[in-house]
Amino acid sequence: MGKNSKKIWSIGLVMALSIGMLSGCGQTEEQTSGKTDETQEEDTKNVSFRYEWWGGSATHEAYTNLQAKYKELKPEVTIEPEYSAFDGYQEKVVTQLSGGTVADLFHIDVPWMDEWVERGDYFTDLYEQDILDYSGIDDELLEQYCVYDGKLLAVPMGVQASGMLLNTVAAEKYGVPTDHQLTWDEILELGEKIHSENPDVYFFTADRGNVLNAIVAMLKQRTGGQLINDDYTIAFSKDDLLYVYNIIQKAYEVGVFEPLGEADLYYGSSTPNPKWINGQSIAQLCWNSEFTKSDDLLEGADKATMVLWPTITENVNQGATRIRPTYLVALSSQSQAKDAALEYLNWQLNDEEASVILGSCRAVPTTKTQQDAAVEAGVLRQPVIDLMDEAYPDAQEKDNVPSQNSELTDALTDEYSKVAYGMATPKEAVESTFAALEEVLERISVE
Amino acid sequence: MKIKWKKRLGKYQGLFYIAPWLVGFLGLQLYPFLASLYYSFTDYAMMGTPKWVGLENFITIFTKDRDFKNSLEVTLIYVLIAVPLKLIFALFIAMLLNLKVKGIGIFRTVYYLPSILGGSVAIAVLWRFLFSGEGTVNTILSKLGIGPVGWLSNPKVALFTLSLLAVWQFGSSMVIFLAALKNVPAELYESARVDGASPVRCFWSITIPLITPTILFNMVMQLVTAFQEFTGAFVITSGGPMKSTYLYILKVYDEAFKYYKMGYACALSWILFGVVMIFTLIIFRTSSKWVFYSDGGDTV
Repeated sequence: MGKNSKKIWSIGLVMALSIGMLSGCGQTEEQTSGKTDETQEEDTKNVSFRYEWWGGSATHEAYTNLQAKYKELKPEVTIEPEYSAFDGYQEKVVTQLSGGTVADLFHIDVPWMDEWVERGDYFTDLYEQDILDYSGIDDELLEQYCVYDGKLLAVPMGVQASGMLLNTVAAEKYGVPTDHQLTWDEILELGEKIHSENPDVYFFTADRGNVLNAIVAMLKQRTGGQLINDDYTIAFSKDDLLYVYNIIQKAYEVGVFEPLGEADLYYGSSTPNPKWINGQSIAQLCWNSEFTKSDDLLEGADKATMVLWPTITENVNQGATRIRPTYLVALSSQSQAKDAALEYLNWQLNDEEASVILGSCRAVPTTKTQQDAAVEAGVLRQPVIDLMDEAYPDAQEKDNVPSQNSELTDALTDEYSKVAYGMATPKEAVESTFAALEEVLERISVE
Repeated sequence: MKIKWKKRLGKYQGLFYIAPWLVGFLGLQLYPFLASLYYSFTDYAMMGTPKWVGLENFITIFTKDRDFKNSLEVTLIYVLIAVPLKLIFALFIAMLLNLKVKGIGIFRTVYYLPSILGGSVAIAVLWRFLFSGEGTVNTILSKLGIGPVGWLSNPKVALFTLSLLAVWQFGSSMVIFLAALKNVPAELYESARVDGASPVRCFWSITIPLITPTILFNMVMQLVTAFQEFTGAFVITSGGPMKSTYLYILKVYDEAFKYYKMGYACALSWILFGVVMIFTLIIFRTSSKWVFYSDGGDTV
């Protein structure tokens, strides 16, 4: 081979590589457009779509089993699962929505929905289709959480209530009652006694998200309505906040809460806090959808139970419990397999067998058929159902948009942390909290 | 005609060869680089269309942002702890691995392993287990009657613990130091020993001066990497406790993905770019005073 031929060959190869790289992105389109009728017909049979969710190992197992079952029923449908822990999920989906690469079906946490709907046309209007049957879901639930400008943009898979999850063995050992809602005063008294006698044992292991929820619930009990008003002003008074911060300060001081720095290492993580596993923590503040995960971490079965979220005792203007959808499922407006995805979602939402496979990882199913099937099969653990029944009379008002703003809740977290770490007195923290919240509110109200 | 074609071919041949890299550079580096500069002057929520706001993002950062100063300070402290410690440790291990010992190849491989694993999420999780309140480190210390230490839960200690994770990933610097140590002429040590120089004197008067170009290189590279540290702080502490490990990149991440303020995050990134540039320039400017080139440094 002559010198010039070598050059020409090398250039040819490099060009081919470059073109290959450049055309990589358009490959699917080319392949689709170049198909014969026969292949196209085959493709209408063999369809695949992506399904994206967050959760712990129990949720991942439930959903992968569910999708394997669907594959048995419909071998021509392939569901590509994409799952991760809660931490980072929101950021991942935001990026995907922005880049147009979100999965066909994806889970959404309730507080994110308002923001995402406002930012673009990312969801399919489920009123405009007749494959998914959502008639079994309570109209009020759909109206409150899924309908925007007359469009049904998602469906709730389950309903959950916030509550106090107790390790029954540890509770019995340390004399904590497990049959009724406790007040914060009772918890402080019991927790102090337990920790002073057993320095390694704490009443709660609570990360910054759990403690924030506790603070918000207490403040909402005091206001009788929202944390932040619809006009972006603070709904609670300085006295309300001082009352709450005094409880938080005492809870950390006497060892009711595990020190925040330690408990927070497990924030949003798929790895559990060892104190819970070892029985050195008696209770958790969580949603009943998390019951299975926490219960399974204890040795043997049925060692956990749930009671209502703790309540305050002074100036109580509403209940302490929050009720909301566990998560919503939406169909991307960009989906290329809408019919297949909707058929699957319809099965997942309404089928009795699907309900049994999903168990209680989404708390209580939103459709009556699935609720009955899950209860009959015994997969919905009793404490999850019991808490749900008790929660409705103790329910708080649904959070409005301003109260769910993440900059605002982060600012509140930063401020109460000062009390939790003993770096500010409750009185000092009240002043700095108001200053911080007002600064954020001023900014977000004009955005 | 044929000659003309060959001439043209010769002219563009190089470009064809680098075409794959060029495409990658233009699409994955230059475009994002310039786009981020544009976005830094916009109100861009990622989801939606950017709106031009001029210098507003920069003004807000310097005048109103409560976390900007803190995250910059935390990052500077992190860099000042992690970079020197890492360089010292890498040089120390490189010197050990420069000894003529049986099976030294195995030692070199083993000591490089942390660098392969070090930046991963799995190792960050492992680090959390090691340094948590009831983790391995505190268990060992308690056997010695020390502690427990709040390695990750004490705001005054957590940043140092995170720095240790960076130090642990010393492998790449170590390999470069090892190569530099091997290039130090053995006869210099022999002459010094004949003149009665101690090993310590040899280290300070021969080894260090001759490897200063490598120290400079490693320092700049590690400085740039340390300013961009993310994984450890994100996975292990999420910036806590009390924002004591809230590194700058964590703030950029929060602004972009949590608060949907991509334009603002881009402005923060350009400020970081400026800070890194200033530090790099200072190092280069001062290098003429402490870096020794055996050829006088005139080859560039």
